[in-house]
Amino acid sequence: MSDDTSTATSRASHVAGQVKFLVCVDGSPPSKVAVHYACKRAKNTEGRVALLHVVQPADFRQWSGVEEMMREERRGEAEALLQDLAADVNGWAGIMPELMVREGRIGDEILSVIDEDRSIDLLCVGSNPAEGRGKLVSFLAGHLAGRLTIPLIIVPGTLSDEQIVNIT
Amino acid sequence: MFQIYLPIAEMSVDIFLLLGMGGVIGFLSGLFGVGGGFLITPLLIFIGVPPPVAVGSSVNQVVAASVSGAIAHWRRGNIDFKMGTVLLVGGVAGSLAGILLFNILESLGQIDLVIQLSYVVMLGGVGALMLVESGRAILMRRRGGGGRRKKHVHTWIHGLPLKMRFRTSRLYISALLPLGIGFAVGILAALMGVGGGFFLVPAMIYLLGMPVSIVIGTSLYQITVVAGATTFLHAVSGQTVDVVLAGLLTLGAVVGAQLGTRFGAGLKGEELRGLLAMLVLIVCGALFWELVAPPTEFFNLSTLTVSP
Repeated sequence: MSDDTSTATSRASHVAGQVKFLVCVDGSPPSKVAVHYACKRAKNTEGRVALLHVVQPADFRQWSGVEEMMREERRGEAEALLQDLAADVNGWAGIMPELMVREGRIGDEILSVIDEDRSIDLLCVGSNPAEGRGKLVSFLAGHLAGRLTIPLIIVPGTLSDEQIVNIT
Repeated sequence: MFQIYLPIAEMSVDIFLLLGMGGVIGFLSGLFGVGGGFLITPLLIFIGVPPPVAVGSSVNQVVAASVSGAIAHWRRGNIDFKMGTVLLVGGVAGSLAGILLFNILESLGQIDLVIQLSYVVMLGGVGALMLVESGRAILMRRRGGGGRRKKHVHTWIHGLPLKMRFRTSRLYISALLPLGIGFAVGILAALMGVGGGFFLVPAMIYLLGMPVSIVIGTSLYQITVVAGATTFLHAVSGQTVDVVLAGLLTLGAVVGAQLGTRFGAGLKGEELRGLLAMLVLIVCGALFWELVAPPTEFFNLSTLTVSP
């Protein structure tokens, strides 16, 4: 984590006219819709897209070799997921996204990524209206709202491609 | 004070001692994410429960400890039922063989010694391996990351007949291999009253090459069923399952496990592993001492009370 005193100051390395979206993804359909939305907006604003996937830390296992393999396996799955989505981003916006894998508690990791990378302007997450408030959305809206220094966009997973084009 | 009579163990024990022991075992199993069977049998032996009854009642407690984990993994789709079923067919066969061996040893009058000796060997081996492993992990970290291990290396194991396809595990291997691993775990369950996860999990990963995320759930599924079958077999063949004893232990363990899980979340993996290795070695040492220490009274005299 970087120093806390300067979090409230302006996003230092912001490139004029360019908006950088951070999308938190987990392989679910709503998170893919969120990526789609961010791509369309990035395309129209000549902005950039960064994808973040947070993996659960490996739980304790009696044998450290087993724990290590579990960690490796999760990392491999995360990389495969991000590669897939990166291809989608390329198709939607014609750009290559930044890819990030973090291990830890999801809310903390999102905050620390935003703290470390000052060029991120907007945070974008998907939600599933059918299932009510998801865990991440509840956390971001309740717990995190006071600590978040950039706008948060919640994209419902039920948006059709046409709707996305209309609002971007 | 509050003595309770254990009908199978044929002894009176303070009810709070049993609840407290169950609590401690539950706390430790929640903390370390292990079944706890390897702790129950030695602890019961320490308080004077005959070793065969300790084994039979401990394996009953293992069922209780693993069933909730198995259900949780089943909901998340982390169980390979085909692989688990092959493993448990081997497991139940191993358990039958183990019970036969158990009964033979009992009729020879050697069962107490064999149980204690196999515990000393098993705990000593597991504890030493864990220490070596964590020591190596610390060294590796200092030197800076080791290379990736190769996972699917072809050996003679892949030449065995009776090949089966396991879709969930993405494997095409001989069924003899999981049958054999299951068999070994079944013998452990019957002879020692443990679930055998400490052996089953690494065997499934390194010998079978299953994905780790599937291994944990599948092993719990196998352990639940095999421990259940073993409890049944012990109860039928040797009448060594004390329901009062197992019930009180389970009651304490349920409460303890909640606390242990919460406490463990604040500790690092290496610290936990070091603590677990120490615990295993202490129990091993205490059992060894029980075996070799000279008895306090070489003989004793008492009046025989003959019931009419």
